[in-house]
Amino acid sequence: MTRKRRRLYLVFAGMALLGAAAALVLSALRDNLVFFYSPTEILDREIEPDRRLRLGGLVVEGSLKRNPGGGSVAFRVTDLSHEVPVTFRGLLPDLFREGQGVVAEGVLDRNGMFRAADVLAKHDENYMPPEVAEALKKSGQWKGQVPEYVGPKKSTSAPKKGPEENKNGESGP
Amino acid sequence: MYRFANPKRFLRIAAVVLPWSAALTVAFLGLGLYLALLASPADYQQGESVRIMYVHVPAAWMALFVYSCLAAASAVALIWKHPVADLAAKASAPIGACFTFIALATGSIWGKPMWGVWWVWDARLTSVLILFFFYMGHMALTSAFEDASRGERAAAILALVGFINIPVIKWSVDWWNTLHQPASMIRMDGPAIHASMLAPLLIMAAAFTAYYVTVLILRLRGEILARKIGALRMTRIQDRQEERGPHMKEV
Amino acid sequence: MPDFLDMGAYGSFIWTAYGIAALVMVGLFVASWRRLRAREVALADLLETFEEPTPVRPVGVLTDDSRDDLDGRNGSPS
Repeated sequence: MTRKRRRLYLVFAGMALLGAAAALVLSALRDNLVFFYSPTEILDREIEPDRRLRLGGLVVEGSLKRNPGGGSVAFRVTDLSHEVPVTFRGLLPDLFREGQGVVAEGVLDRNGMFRAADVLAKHDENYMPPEVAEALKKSGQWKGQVPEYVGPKKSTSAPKKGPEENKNGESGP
Repeated sequence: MYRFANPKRFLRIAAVVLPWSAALTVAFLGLGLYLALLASPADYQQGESVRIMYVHVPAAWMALFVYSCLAAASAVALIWKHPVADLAAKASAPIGACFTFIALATGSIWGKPMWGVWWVWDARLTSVLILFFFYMGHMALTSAFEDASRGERAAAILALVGFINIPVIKWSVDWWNTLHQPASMIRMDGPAIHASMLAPLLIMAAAFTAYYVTVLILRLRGEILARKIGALRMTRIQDRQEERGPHMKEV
Repeated sequence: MPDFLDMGAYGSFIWTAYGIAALVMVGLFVASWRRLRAREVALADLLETFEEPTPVRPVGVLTDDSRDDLDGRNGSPS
């Protein structure tokens, strides 16, 4: 019995030590494990030009401009306190929408323009049928349950509706 | 745990459980697939592609759940040296590896149309890939040693070390900003999934759990038999050695 | 039916995902089942040769072809 006891304590002590070590390493790595920076972080840190990094936030409502012919797009990314303008040439993912989360990978040029080489859409944790989303919005019960800058705001338009549905986008600049 | 420690008792219980778990797997899978593919609505943002969720998320849950079982069995094996615990860990590893692979593959297939990429090195995806490597490492270790019990001990220690990864996976989406969205199910203010999508998700999760029980029993019975075969061969070789000295026949 | 297969243009993604999952899970089940069967057969074979107490057995009895004879003498076909 005592040997089992000893092994029990040994396993527990080992796990506790390992957990502590992992916690230390992970908290030390915290900055490096960041997948993207918010506009505020990017503007705060003096980032040398031409360093590749990722910018994450919400696409500002009404900021998306497609240059006809050129195939490039421009939009602004916000964390609701600061904004960074982004240009991108290429195919946008299906989930890319104004008012929705986005992660752009590229470089910040000297004029403060973010030149994206890749644009990834980030979606939130809410899943529901379109009718439910409509009903929620209509009744004003769109839950304020989403974290600051990854969720749809009240003004998010339903995907299938045309741009005329967009007139409630009062959060535009 | 004590009740399952004895192989004979385990085999008796397993014989009762097996038909039930197999039947439940088929029933839940049938109902779950019907709901997932036909009777559930498209998502307001992701459209039909949300249907990938009904295999991706249960597989990811199972990847974590099976690893937790594996780690628990390993702890029991290390501390109390129960004969079935080592074998349960050994039998669980390939199942968990398969679930992890499914979660990674379906996640990648889902990520391409929705996020715009097959893979990114964010904290969630990377930590799940590490989980897959832990499963592979466990499988390699159990079979790497000539002496099975040494391999099992090494694998059990690896399993406990790898358990650190489980809370990291779970909370990676909260601790770091990741491309992967935060948890939809286990959160402070209840699931953020509409009931019509929650039902297929939970039923598929039940089906996967029943599948795990079924395959675990099959594999565990196989491991117990292998152990028995090994022991029998050993005694036979010893018997014959005593009987005829160096004149040994190939077994 | 074509609508169902198309899945709103996500058909290829959805069916590939479900296909991979099905392939892996069915494959693992079949492999586990076969392994168990193979071991059950191996154990049965082994036990058969064990029926007789080893010490009294003459050298060379334990070959595959003589196993049937052993069974006959025991009168216990299993």
